[in-house]
Amino acid sequence: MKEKPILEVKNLKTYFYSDSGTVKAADDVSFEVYPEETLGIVGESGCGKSITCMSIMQLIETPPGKYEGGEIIFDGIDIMKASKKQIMEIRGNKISMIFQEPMTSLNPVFRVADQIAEAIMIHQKISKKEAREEAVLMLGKVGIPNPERVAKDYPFSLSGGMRQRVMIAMALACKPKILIADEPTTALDVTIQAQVLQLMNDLKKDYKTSVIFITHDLGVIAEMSDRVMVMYAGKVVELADVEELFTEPMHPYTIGLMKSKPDMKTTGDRLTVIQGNVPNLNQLPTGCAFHPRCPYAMDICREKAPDLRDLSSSRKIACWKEFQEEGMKNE
Amino acid sequence: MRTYIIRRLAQMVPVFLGIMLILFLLLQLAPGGPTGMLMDPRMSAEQKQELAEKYGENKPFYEKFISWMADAAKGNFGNSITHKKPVVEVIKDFIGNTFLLAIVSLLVGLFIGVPIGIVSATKQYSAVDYGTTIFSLIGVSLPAFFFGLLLLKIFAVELPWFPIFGLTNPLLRKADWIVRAIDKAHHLVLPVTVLGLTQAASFMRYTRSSMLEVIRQDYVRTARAKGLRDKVVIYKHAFRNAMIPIITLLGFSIPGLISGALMTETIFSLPGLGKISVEAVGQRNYPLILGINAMLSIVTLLSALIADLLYATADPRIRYD
Amino acid sequence: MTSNTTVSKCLTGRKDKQVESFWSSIFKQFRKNKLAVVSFYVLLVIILACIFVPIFSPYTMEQTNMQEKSLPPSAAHWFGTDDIGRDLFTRLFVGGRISLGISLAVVALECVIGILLGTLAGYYGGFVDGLIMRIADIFLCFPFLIICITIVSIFSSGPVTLIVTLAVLSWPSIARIVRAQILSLRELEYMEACEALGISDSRRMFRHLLPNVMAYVIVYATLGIAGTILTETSLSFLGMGIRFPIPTWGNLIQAARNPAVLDKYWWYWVPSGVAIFLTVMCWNIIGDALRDAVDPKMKR
Repeated sequence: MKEKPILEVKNLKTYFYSDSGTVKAADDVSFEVYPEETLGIVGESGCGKSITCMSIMQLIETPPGKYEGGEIIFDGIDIMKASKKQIMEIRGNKISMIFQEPMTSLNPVFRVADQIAEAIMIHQKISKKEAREEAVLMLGKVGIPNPERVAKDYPFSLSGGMRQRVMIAMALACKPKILIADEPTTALDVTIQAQVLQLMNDLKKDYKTSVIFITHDLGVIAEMSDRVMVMYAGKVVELADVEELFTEPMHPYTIGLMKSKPDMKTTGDRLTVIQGNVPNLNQLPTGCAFHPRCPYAMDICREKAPDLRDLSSSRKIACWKEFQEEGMKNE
Repeated sequence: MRTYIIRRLAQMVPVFLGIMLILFLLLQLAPGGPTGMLMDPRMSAEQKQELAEKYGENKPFYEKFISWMADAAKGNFGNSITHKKPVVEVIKDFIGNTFLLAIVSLLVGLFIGVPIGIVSATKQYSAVDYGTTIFSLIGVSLPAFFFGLLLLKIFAVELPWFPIFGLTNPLLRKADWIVRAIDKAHHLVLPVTVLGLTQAASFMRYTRSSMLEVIRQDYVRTARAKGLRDKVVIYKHAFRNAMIPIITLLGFSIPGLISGALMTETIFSLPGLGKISVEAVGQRNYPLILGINAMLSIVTLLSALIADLLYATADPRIRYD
Repeated sequence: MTSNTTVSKCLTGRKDKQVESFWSSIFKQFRKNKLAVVSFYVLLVIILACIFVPIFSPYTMEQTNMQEKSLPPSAAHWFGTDDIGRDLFTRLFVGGRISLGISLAVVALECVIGILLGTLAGYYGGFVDGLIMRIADIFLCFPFLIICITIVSIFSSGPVTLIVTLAVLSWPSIARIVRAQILSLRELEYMEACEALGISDSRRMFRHLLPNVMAYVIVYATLGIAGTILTETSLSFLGMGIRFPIPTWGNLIQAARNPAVLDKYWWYWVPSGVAIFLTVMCWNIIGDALRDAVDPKMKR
């Protein structure tokens, strides 16, 4: 897997300012995405996973949000410093995104095909008619029955699963290098969820697209991802290959997440829960944000936040306990 | 779509009957009843009785209502007492000016209010937004008659740029049509300023809040994620949705527009329905005043229907219901 | 209000801490809006002036003095005198009493009718709903100003006629708001909880649904007072509201319809115009701020 990454996020900081304080929604986030891989990002709601991805697309509302620093290198350019025109060429064309709420993500007053064709038309210099034909073709590819007819429908007449397929068709219409999927199946029924996930896996292979897959569902992560990044309170706490992470989670938060996941073995027992609550992001505890909930918290955890360090070539972690066990110095 | 129109039409029927019933009741309650005006104090009781008989005063209530409705359906609201002409004729003479004022002001209001409302919403918390908010607040709080008088004082009395009253200059009665048109426009500047700016202020408020609601919707984010330019996102994707509640508002604002037009006419002494209805009330000319009421209610009802149809065209969810 | 607080409220049938915090959070939000707080104090000054100026003024509203007619503002007559030498400062605030008093009464009556009919329509639905809403449509279709002057002219123009007429013509808007709120609240789980507990219809409606709607009614009423002041003053400007010699903000401005007054005596009419404008604007700002506080979704 050690080829050249197609996307590098370095020390991304996206903060939100409001009357009640500053929220460091993404704080010093760094990771890479490699060609044709699926990177899963997991964490509780409000941990900054969506904000990180919205930052890649430069879709954060400013104000109240503000990009406070970092680089996002894609195709040799730094998206954080790119011109508006460059960003327009990337969005929906080289990097595209699908969202959590299929019910509200399509514009209710335009026909399905027109919404897809619009994305094709602005990025490829083709006529409206050709774009529409292409849109119908895409509808077929995402497994919509009778695409000719559905093309003329308005979104309100489609089910949630169908709408998410339309969103996928729209996102993949320009054959992007990276597809960001922000909890694409959370709002769907379990059976539909499985179908959509299957579809995404198939299309990803066809289109040779890298995928950034955001979810809070560990089962989905295990099924979809090659590598997994765990986020907590705006920071990356652990990053590892999917097998490694599931067989040997290291960060206390990851361990907690694994334990709270129901599976066949835990039948009858009570599920373990992580003690305490997700911290209020504008009143983060000092030191490591997880320390008030961490069973292994030490003095240093209360004083100083751990940075993200390499454990091996494929594994990174931000935890004082691990650093000590690995014999790393505190600096 | 067709069932939608039919349903709306069916809903309008009882509303229409209700309006007519209430107006009829008012006519009956008017001092002296509907024929009171025709009676001369010098008439004998017998003559009065005869007159009442002739006009069907002694018939049972429902019969009177039915025959009044039948007359109204034929456009017969009786005679205007002071004009010695059928009510319909009198209304016809004056309604054009009222509509001219109302429609021009509505257009002015829309063309100023909607674009500024959009810009204000997209640049929330900017200087433009604060300016818009303050302007629209002043616009909805300033009484039209006071605003009108201030304009008259400044631009007609102190600076004699515009005429103080009327819609035409009698000296130009025989001039070219183009001269007369310019003269009319000149007379309309101040009235349209009053009514148009009041309308603009409320359209600004509604457009702004409607746009603010819409630009936070998921589908607007989707449009931006597609790589569309900001202008396309705002004017095509967002505004097309924000328009829907504005159309509803348009339907609801017609009675207010008409009231505003009547008020404005009175201030600037324009010969329109406002002027004659105030006169009619002063002269207790009930057939005329009720005819005007019926007429304007029907206009309101019809414009509500038009707004509904526009609404259905703008929102596919309704069209295919 | 979250359904949790309402569930607990439904079950205990009394105000608990969470419900109070709903109102106090509105109050807190409101206080953050500086413009609204300023408007509140401006309005307070206007209202206090309307109450106390006529009491402590050396003049009365009817007292004429032909030696002192049509005087411009001076130390003795702050807003000058009119054509028969009455003190306009005193008359302005007597007019304010009437205009504000009538508007408050109209909105109060309008709220009572609107809440009652809106609640019935929303709660029972079906035929009752259809009937009430069609009646509301009828009232919304009348050309407001003309039907007002028609009714006032038929039934003579006392304050009672005026208040009843305006309230009867304007209840539909509030009934619609109440109905819409009730319709959406009815679907919530806590109403089912009430039903399961066997709480009676009227108790359910008035004890459990209405308090949830009140916040919206208060917002609407605040904005409604602004609108009613404009209507009342328009009517009396047309000479159809309260008539001379009793001053109102509207009929004081009527003086300016005389070209000579418009030309020479600005102090006859400008102060009452400014008074109407300021008062209406304050109510509007307060209403907007309350709406933002009650429904943060509508802010932005």
